Amino acid sequence: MTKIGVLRDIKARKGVAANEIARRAYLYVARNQTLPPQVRYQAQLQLNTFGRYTRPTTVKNRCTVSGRGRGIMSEFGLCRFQFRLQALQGQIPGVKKASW
Amino acid sequence: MLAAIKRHSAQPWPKLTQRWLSSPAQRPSQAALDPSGPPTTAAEPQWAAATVHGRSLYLPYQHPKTHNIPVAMIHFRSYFPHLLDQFTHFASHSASALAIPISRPVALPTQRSLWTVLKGPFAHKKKQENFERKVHKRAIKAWDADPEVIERWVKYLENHAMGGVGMRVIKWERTRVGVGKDRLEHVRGQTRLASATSSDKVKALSEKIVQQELTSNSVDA
Repeated sequence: MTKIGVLRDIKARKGVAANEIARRAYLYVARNQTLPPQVRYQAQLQLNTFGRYTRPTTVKNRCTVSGRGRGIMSEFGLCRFQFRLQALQGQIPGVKKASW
Repeated sequence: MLAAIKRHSAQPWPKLTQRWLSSPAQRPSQAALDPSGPPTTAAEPQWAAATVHGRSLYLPYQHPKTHNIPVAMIHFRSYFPHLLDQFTHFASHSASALAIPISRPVALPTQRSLWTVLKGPFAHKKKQENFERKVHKRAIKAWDADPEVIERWVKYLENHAMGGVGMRVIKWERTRVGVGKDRLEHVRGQTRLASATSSDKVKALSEKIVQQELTSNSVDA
């Protein structure tokens, strides 16, 4: 069974992708200094009605192999332990044990 | 799995200027294979006549620049320098065969990325391991050739590309004044009016929202 954090992250990514244009439009209206304050306030209230799986801040990189949420290296999409296991097997191109 | 290529012997990788043909029948004749190599200052026909077989054992003939106008630059990148040496050797010989004046393969600074990770999956901060990745780079610059010739050279290299070596080609072409304006007109005529970019969509949607809010405000008030 996959980790629940992985499932939540997938849901968040899909939600963010689907709602990005609407969120950006409301944000544009809410932050626009030239518009009347009532309109800006209404836009901000609308923004607050969006659920948590539409906010880009809920998206978090996770390890693609183990699903670990911490110690992720974005360049490989792996957590530090999986990176070490794969690097020692030679499965990451160009990466080798450093010695100097 | 693509493991790092290991040297099985303690000997370094053979230099491309050294002999590495094993049987006597394969080796070029004594007259052709002069240890000093073919004459470097002579013209290309003399150079070509000096070695008939085994020409790739030496550095290619350096065609002299005619106008000193840079035309192209190719960057090669790889994790393994011996692959780079092989491919730059191939690239410079093919350019020489097409009579393109080129520079020697210049070594650009190596990029080194270092990662220090904990050895275990949990705790044990004092036991860590270092991993590195080195990106070796070479550049060959070309002068004075026709853009078509450069295009052929690049296509030839792409057709015979080497695994593990990446190539980036930068070309400089000369053209008449006013070509930018013509290109812009051409592109403008070709844009599809139906599909808008995402920033336009955002603007349109926000306009609609503003209208909705204003009408609802006026209705309430």
